[in-house]
Amino acid sequence: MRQRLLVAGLVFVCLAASALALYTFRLDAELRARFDGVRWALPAQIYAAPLDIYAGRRLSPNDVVHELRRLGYRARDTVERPGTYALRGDSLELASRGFQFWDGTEPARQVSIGFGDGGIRGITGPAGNQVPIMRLDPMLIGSIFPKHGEDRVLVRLEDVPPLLLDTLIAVEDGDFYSHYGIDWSGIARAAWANLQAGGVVQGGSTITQQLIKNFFLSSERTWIRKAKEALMAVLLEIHYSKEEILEAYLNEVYLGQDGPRAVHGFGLASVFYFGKPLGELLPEEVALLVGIVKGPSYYNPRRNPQRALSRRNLVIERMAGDGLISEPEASQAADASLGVRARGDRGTSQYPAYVDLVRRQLQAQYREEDLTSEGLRIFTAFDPRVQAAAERAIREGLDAIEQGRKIEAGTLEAAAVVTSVETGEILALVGGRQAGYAGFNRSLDAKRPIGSLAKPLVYLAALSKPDRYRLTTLLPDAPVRLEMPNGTVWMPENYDRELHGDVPIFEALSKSYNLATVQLALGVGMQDVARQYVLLGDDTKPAPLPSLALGAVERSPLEVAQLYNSIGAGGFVTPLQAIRDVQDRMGQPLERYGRKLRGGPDAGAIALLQWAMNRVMIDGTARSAARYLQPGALAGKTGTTDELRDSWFAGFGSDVQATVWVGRDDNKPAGLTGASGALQLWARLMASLDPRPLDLYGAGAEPAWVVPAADALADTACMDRLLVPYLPGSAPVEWAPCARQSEQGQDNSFWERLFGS
Amino acid sequence: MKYFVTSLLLGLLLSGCGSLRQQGQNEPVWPYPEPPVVEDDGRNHRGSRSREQTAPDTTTSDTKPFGTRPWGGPAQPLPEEPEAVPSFSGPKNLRDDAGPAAIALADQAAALRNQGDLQGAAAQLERALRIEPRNAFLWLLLGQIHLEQADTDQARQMAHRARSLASGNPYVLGPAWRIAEAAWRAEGDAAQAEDAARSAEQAELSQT
Repeated sequence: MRQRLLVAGLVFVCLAASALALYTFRLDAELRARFDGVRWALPAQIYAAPLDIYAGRRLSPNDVVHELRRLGYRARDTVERPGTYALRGDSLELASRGFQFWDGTEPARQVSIGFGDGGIRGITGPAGNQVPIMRLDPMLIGSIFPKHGEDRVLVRLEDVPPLLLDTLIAVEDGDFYSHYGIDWSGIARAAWANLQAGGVVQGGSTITQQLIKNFFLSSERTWIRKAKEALMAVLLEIHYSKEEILEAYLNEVYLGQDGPRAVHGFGLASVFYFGKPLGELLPEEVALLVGIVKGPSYYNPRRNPQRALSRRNLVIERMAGDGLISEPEASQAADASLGVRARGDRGTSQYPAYVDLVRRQLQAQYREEDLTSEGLRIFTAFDPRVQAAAERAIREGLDAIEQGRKIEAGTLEAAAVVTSVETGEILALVGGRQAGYAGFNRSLDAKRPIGSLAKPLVYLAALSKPDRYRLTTLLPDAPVRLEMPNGTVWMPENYDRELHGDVPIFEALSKSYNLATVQLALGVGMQDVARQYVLLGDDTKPAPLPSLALGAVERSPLEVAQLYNSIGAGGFVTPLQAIRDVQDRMGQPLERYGRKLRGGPDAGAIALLQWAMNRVMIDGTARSAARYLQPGALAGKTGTTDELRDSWFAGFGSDVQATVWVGRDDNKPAGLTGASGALQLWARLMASLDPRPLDLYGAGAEPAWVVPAADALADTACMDRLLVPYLPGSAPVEWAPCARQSEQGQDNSFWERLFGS
Repeated sequence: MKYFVTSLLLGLLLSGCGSLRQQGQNEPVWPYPEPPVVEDDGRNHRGSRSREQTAPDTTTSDTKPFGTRPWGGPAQPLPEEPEAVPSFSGPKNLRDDAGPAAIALADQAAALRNQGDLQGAAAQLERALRIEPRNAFLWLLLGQIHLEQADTDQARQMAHRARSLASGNPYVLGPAWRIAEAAWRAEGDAAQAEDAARSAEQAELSQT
């Protein structure tokens, strides 16, 4: 009996040991699979366009300093460490950070940038050499992380400042380099505390154990879990070096929460709290990050600054006590403020509208899990300077309109899309009045009737037939009555409900006369009008109904921006794009979205249209823009829809296009025309972008002095004459009654054209 | 002889690009000693090729960007001065027409192209075009890259864009039509290619 018991006991012990061994084996396999394979799901990181700096660029010292501040560069007396600068009069000393771009490495540079003549005069390197062009590191504007997911910026151990490593080890795990995963004295201390408390209240966790906990286990505090954690910690130490474990920890540890986004690792935390890379942290900033490890929510420096401050100073004391920093350094650090960026500051995930656009463009090509886990690096055309101008124009513009028109504050909404005319790149996107908050992205999703924004396409269709139409062809602004196929009768009216008689084509556009436009559209043919949408890069050809002429077609601000960007680009259509290129997590190029050109409408017809759209600014529906900017050589068009529900303006110079929509989310009348609403925002925006002028008499057009109301040539004897461009062979040949009709008169007009009188 | 002079002047356009080689082929195509060619296309090689091959090739192992060459200097030694005095006084090549930043980027593009990295070269040229969007020579270079990538449609579009910015400059128009010619030929459209070739020859005539 005793013997049987003994055998049974032995069998049991053997079984238990085997089970434990098997279990250990399984844990070991799990551990190694996790550690050797992809360690982290890395959200795709989205970068703004880097700032190109070169002689001749129209940038002021302030423009560059603004950009440097956005990137977390610090003003210093001595400019040596990357990420510092000093502005001395017309000269900017700069130590730039290097960056691995898609198309090559931009080295960290130490340069002096000279300003003058309204721009950059030159860049001088340390040896007095001229640098033809350099670019700053690009700002991280967001990442594509899964819902309630982790976000991180990976760092390599050698890129982490030694002070951070030493402080972390001193505070979290003093014996890190000597223990085998478990710190027995620490555990004894914790066990005693737990026994006294009658439960698990304190962990004697080493860095290795904390890593295991973060990696595999829930934060549930039980003895079983602690035992498993300890076992795995020992296994981890057997397989991996201290350096590998430390690097993993630096990237894994949870350091804060940003809405649905969990901030993991010191790399992202440095950007999240201080807006700069890890390598540039000051001692007090290192101390704060290390201090936060203990309880990212409890020591949240934004929500609980006092707690965070005392925790930080505790860490600073420890740093000084361990000799990591000198006493004077320590007291200087302890006196410093927390230095955390304010919540409203632009860190990551502060440009939700643009990031949303990038995500949608990527979703066509990548699987969602690749976007949220493969650590792709996405480089975009996003221009923080333009974005800031657009957001400010919308904020201030809407406030001013609501106050000026006694509209209930906060009821108006707006969206804006700014594009580069020449490249078709989307520079900025505002999805709503509160641009920093994710939500309904009106720039992409608010599909509204475009009203009179549709008119330029009618005129483009007409001007593309120079044998039938020129800018001064007279149109009857007369009543229209159309019986539709479904039996209803369509009788459009002018906005002012008046008739204007015979008007030249360009004036019908600049004054936005509905009846003349419908007459013209019917004369050209609705099929031809509809075809212009396709020619200008629209994805869907609208139904060729007569009401199309007045904008009974729904488009988002982004889609309108495509149409107007193409008009601005003068005959070549570039599909709008946000993404330039994509790298994998190691910085290897994956994909490039190169420039694409497509033949568009006739360049000559476009030039005439641009001229007419300039008249909109000079003496048409948009003349009030002159309050904000010189409308001299800009072009655009107002749009207003039924009962003043939508207020639109879209327009361009030769380099930049902007489309602005103003209205209400509930689709109730906003009480604004295109001119009293969107135009006011557009003009503020364009004024701060300082667009380049259009060439209003270019693309082979031949200007002639004419009397527009007579569609006939003019000379100096004519009072109401205007210099109008015509395609070769299509200018009027008759003289207006006011002209002296002499050879001399013709000579004179040529003479004066040269003078520009 | 006329053709030879034309070739030389065409060469001036992309001055210094002579060190560059077309991906997948062994004959240098920058500067153009002949119409630009695309891969897998053997029909469009003109008679100048044999001369090109026998010319002392000091360039093929030269990986330096073309910025290290004298400005506007062709890669091949000039056997004689072009006999005609150019009547055109505008820019004849990128170096006549671009600022130092765009030239530096074009140099980088040339170096990348030299290493067979056409994507990288295109990226640098696009960067240069963001600085000088109306520089016809940059559009021509980008068009040539597209041609070498066998993207004939984009090659033609960019040549077209260059033409629209040419303001009558024969040093833009000639190469632009040559790129179009090569693109049509690669697509097997002999008639269009012939048309483009005629336009090119006309432009090349007014280069001298």
